[in-house]
Amino acid sequence: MTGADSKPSSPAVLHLEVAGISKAYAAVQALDEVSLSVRGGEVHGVCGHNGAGKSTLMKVLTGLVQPDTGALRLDGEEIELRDAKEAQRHGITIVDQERGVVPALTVSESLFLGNVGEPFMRRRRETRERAAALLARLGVEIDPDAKVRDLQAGERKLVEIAHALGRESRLIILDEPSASLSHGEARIVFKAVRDVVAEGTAVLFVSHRLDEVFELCDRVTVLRDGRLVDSRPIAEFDRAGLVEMMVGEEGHELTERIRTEAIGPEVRLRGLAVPPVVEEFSLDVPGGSIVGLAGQLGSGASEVLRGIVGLARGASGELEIDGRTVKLGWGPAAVRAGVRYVPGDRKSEGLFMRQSIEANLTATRLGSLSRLGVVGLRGRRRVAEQLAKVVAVRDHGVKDRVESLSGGNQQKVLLGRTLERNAGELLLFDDPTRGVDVQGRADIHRLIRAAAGAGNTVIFVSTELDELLDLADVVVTMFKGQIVAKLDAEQTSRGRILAEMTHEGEVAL
Amino acid sequence: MSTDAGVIAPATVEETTSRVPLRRHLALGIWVAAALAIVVFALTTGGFATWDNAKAIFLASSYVGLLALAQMLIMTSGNFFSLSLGTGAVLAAMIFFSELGNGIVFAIVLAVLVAGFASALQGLLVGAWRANPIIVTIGANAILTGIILLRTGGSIIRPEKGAPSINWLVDPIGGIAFPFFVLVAATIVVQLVLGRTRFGLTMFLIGENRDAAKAASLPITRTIVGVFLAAGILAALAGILLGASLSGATLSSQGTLPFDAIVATLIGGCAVAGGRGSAIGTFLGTLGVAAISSALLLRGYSEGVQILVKGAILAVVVLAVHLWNQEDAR
Amino acid sequence: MIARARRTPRGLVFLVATVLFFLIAPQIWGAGSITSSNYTDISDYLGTFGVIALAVGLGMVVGEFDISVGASYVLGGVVAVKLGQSSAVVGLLGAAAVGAFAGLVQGAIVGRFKISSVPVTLAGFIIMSGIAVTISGGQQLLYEDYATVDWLNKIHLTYLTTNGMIVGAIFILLALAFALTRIGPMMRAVGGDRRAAEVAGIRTTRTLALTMGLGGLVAAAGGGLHAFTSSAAVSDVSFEPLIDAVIAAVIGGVAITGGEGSPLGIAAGVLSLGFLQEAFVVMGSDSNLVTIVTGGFLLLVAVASAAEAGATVDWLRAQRDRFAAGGGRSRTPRTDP
Repeated sequence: MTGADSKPSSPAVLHLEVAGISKAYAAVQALDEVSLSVRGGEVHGVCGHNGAGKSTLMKVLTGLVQPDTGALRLDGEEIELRDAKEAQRHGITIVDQERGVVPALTVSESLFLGNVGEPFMRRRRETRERAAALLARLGVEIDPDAKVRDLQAGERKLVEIAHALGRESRLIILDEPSASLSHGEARIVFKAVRDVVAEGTAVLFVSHRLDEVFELCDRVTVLRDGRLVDSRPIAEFDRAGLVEMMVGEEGHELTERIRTEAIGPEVRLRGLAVPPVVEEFSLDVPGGSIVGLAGQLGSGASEVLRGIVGLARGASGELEIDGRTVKLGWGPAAVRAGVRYVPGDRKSEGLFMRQSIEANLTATRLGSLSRLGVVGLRGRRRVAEQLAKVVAVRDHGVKDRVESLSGGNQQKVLLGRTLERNAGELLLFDDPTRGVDVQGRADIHRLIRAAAGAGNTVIFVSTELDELLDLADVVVTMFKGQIVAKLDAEQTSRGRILAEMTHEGEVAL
Repeated sequence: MSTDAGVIAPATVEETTSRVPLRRHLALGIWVAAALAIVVFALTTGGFATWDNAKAIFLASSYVGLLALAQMLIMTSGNFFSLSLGTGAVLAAMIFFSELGNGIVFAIVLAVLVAGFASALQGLLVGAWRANPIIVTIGANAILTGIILLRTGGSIIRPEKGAPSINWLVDPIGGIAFPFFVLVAATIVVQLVLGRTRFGLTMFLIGENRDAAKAASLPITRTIVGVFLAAGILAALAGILLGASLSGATLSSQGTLPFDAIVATLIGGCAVAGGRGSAIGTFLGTLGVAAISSALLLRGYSEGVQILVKGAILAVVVLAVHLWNQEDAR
Repeated sequence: MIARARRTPRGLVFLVATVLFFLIAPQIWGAGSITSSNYTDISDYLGTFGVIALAVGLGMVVGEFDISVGASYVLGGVVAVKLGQSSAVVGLLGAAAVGAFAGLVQGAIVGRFKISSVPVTLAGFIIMSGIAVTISGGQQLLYEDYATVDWLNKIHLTYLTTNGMIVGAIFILLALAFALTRIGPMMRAVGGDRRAAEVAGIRTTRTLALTMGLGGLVAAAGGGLHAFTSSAAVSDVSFEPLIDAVIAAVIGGVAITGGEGSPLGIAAGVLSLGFLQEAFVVMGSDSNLVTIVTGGFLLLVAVASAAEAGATVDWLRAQRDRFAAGGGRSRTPRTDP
């Protein structure tokens, strides 16, 4: 670990002061008087679980969002970041999952794409030399003439970082940079980050991977529920303490769980591999139980679900459901064996946005609603209305377009598609209450529990600690493609779950 | 995987419902205004509102209409359009004529099956492998054209002497040409299939969002092959009827039919992005285009103006459809 | 080795293959021999068809289908003849202006309102055809500056026509611009991933408008040149050249989905088609074989770039597993997904 003392800041080295920044969205206080200090020459980690305010803070720093109160001071001078371009002009750049590189370009073309002040005429050799120099600064060996699409994920990430450097950035924000990288690739990225920081650039490292935070950062800021919990040199933290700070008070009221006789298909997953993230995943799930797969982006949890239902190319493994064995890798086989899947991104992969609620709810039931290929329209409508009532979609007729619904209602429609069916199925839900408010979340949990009680087995993926405690019987945590721990939901705590989601091995708390 | 944004700001996830109706009202307004303008324009044209003129319009719409229905199916299933339908129609006509000696029904069935199969094969590439439908159909069109030219040497295929009479395919019934009845029947069948069968309803979903259809394990390959098969069949019917009226089949008989069909489909309200389309809309779009052309002709406008107006209407309708569907930012 | 194969430009491969075919095949199969007129035909082919392929191809690079270039071509011819009776340059400038304007407007609409280019350029195509037919009254317009006509048809160095050379020069100019300035990467970025390009700071709407404006300009100017060369402007528009243009572009390495391609590649694609056709002419065989062959190429390209080509492998494997497991039906009858 690098030295933890704060360096005296010289004028050439960036000093960004975040002073009392607040931001509210309608009823929710995303950031509440957050203050921290970012200096050049250090890697400053930002940690916090869901709802902490990390992404809002990053949006403020990159000019995408205007704070309600508070100020930003750069090198002593107060600045206002009205848009992204202005942030860039001040030397602030972000590398995250949203911004990518364009696959069709070569590395050297990507490095200088869209930069202000780029000459109109490109001199091939000069550009390649500049590119090579830039990559060398990162300590990487990538062929500047290679096409980005031919690069590995880690190399692409490095190109993105180099791109940020090439903009003469003084502060580079890395938002979950290693989420889609292998261990080796992450190592290369970290070494590059250290080289960059040694030159005097400031780096903000937002990550849920606490082992990496401890390895890379000089200083850590912990946020929780929009507030600053603490901000100090890394040496003054220990793992357990950090997790505790992120989680806050225990004392979560477990909702009354009615323990019914658990009936449902026994599910065994054997040797599930979903390249490149998951190498070997095996799990036995008792019939009728609800398993919460707890893993952040890059942990492999979502990939496991997709691998089971055949949406991940190159997946392999075996699924045993109720005694029947199915080889994984081709969707229809799993579906035929009784697997149902609800994807995490309802807008792009889940719902048919411009179609009606009715069409969405009955999308997968048309066979049972039809005879000789002809669908009984009245029956379809009845089923749709019934489902809409069961999932409590409020204030809309079934003919309304799904895109006009609120997020919560949309999610309910998506779930409604999979519920109220035959018993004996394996139901897979990825992030079932994403973007849903508290009331809607309670409704959805009730529905999932009812589905399990009706004779099905459920596996859901989530990072919401409360949700995991509420809904799951067993919480299985994942980190970097592996199962870390299996926790009994009634016996464990939020802190424990978070600890097991953010570290490779079991952590003594 | 929740991120901060997803949980912090349920308010921003809340869709503002007020924005939706405004755009839609604007779109509806444009449509109504355009339709009114067309109707008024047409009815105030001397000689337009006569039975003879109506018959002419019906006849003109028949072939385009069948092809437009075919393109509508393909577009609604999310696959833009097929550029091989015109050649498929010609192929069907040629087979029909060469096999007439073996009986009319046999000739029709064989022609429809072959053309349909050719289209279905293209649908297989698009459905199973997600190949680009425009490129696939361009390639298939080239291959079919080449094969036809090789076999016929560019000459016209006519029915042999002594072949059964096919005048009934052309002759009017109650004054209206037979092909128009075929179009009407086809429109009804397609409308029913789209709105009431598992195949049709699934097709809308696939066209709306193929990725979501995949995640929901809908039968994508089967449905898209079916769509292309149906389109090929409709095109074959158009080709047979057209060939019968020309008493011969050759590649140039398709004229600008394939593209007039696409125009008619778009004017009928079909969205290029997929997921929206109706047989009746396409039917009305076809009639509308034919009516406008007729009215312009009767008023003595030159061919150039006719084309111009058609283009302008297309531009307006495209805008209206876009507003109606509020395509999300790409 | 596969990496090296992927690196070699597709257009170059095809060009070399077709040139070889042109030189060798007639020796083996055909009756005729190659004369200089074959080469001038190819040069002419480049002259007449090349600009359309260039316009369509550039549109594809930014990820759009510009159907209207077919009409720009014809309208360009009409305008050029109308304006250029006394001065060919004026005529060409007029044509270029019209084409550029049409392209800019459509590109701006496509970019700003995020409408698919297909219906927009289809409407543009129809409107411009209408204008062309209206201006020319449906008749052929004769071009009477015979000095210019002769000059354009003049043959240089035995193999090249002036017309072909001019278009070739346009290609070279654009190829240089593509390779040496920011234009190339910008267009490919917009075509490859519009969102990422926008986020990286590229003005995508501007790029789209300028590209389509350039395409319209080139097509219209080329149409004017063609009208001069054949001393007449015809106003009937057809879609065939568009389809051939797509074929030439794809052969030349332009990606169907956008993000790949260059003027040089498109030129290679056009020339490949030219050589292929001439080869069959020399052999005295049916040129329809060319159509079939290009169709086959296109299908191969479509399959090769198909997004889910691996699905069949999964399907086959699943069938084998099913078979191995005894192929029995699952105990509980399953209906829908």
